[in-house]
Amino acid sequence: MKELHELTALDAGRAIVERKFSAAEYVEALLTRIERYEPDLLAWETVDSEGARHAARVADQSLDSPGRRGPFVGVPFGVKDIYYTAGLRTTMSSTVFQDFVPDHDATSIARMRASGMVVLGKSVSTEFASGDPPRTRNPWDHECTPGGSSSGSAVAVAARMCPIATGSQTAGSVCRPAAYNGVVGFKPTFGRVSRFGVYPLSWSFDTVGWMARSVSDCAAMLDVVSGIDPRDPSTKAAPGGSIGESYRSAAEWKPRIGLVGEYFDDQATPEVVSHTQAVADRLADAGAHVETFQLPPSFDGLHEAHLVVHYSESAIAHRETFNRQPNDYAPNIRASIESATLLPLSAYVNGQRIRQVFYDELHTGLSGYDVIMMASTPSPAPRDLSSTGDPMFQTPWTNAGTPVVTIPTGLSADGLPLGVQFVSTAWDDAGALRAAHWAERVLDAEIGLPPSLG
Amino acid sequence: MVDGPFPSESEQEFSDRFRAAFVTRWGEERASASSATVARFARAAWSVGQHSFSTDDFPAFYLQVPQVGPDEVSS
Repeated sequence: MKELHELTALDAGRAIVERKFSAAEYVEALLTRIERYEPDLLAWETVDSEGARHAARVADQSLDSPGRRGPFVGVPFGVKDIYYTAGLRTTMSSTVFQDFVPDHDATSIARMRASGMVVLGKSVSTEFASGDPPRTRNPWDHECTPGGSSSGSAVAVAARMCPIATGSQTAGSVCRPAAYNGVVGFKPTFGRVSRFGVYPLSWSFDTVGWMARSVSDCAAMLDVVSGIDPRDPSTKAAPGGSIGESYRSAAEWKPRIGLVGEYFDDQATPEVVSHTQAVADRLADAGAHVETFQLPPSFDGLHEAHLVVHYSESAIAHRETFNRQPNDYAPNIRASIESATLLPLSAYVNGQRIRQVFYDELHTGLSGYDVIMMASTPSPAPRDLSSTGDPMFQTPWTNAGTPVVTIPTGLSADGLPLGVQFVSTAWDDAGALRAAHWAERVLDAEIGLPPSLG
Repeated sequence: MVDGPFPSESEQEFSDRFRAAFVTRWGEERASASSATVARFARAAWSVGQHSFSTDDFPAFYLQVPQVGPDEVSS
């Protein structure tokens, strides 16, 4: 058997139920991994060793009782430090909340715990999940950004400190760091998973997501956490119900893929453009029907609309704490909040209208495809620690609230991860996952460990 | 909050007005420290303000607004 830290979340959960090893042993293996690499990578705000050991013992004991079990009993996970965790410090990676200890869990965390999962600790976010760079280091190259805002979660999964970790995406904060660190990232449809207890940045964009090392792990997690939550009015019942095994394709199934060039080719490095085309060619060789997808006219102006809407809402979300402690805010988010307080109301309304028109046009265009596909990022992780990279390749799909899955597909000439992402229509999360799962198998996309990690 | 952008107001004119409002609200020191961000937000607000929409894009919204003329208002 593989070493324990190499297992995916589903494989680990299955092995624990089959008593091949205990949840307690698994937690110890991951804590050892964290102890070894955390001084170098700085992925965690808080490691809850004792809480994880206790929860693992409870999970092991639960196996003595009959009954139905979820797929992740005894599986530890990382929690982005903007999710409330009862009794465990939750800092938003900000000095403003250095000593904040919530008395309740975020809904998604409560559901993960209820399924038998084990909170391993709180991973580093950029401050308030915004754009200031984190202290966390990219395990592939310390001189390159790990991305953000779910920086610690992506690095922890890439470094095999945990098999799965939560993130959140307001612009590109799940899929961008996932791509920069060579792991799978999944942002579900807006409204599918509760945001209650996740510190807000922008209520019309914020979406819960997660990172793992397989598409199957991401699909199974959706069923653990999704569903209506009265405490988050944006949540809705998913048409068709749970994902289950529906993301697995029949043997003869081949996806219809719209390959998006235009803006994405213009913004990407030549290496990313040629890599993405090579991936599309391999998928076509394996039977996918691949043709060019035309972006709708409303794509123009979408990024400006996103900036206006996002930060208008952020300025409101932060009004009380910012007015009280502006000097405790990091430079980028401070300047953004200050600027956003001056934005015209008409700009906010127009921004929301641009989003709506884009949503309608995108879904009309998507009707001929199972998914559209494009590079996950304009370049590999930039060699620039003053930013977290550019979310421009994620922002359109966050605007539209559609599901998106990024998978690693290879390494750049500099040895950095590259990836592609799959987007389907809103609420067809199974469609995006199915295409990504199919591509993952066709491409044999596992890129292995960063060389610096044994 | 800044008004506009007004019809026929250029991007530069709006950006100047946006920056002036920033200085009034947060001070010259903050405006200088945040100049790139201030300029980026001004550009985005101006750009978004240039979009016009068809009533066909939001039919329900427009249908819900009664087209009331001056005579009806005064009566």
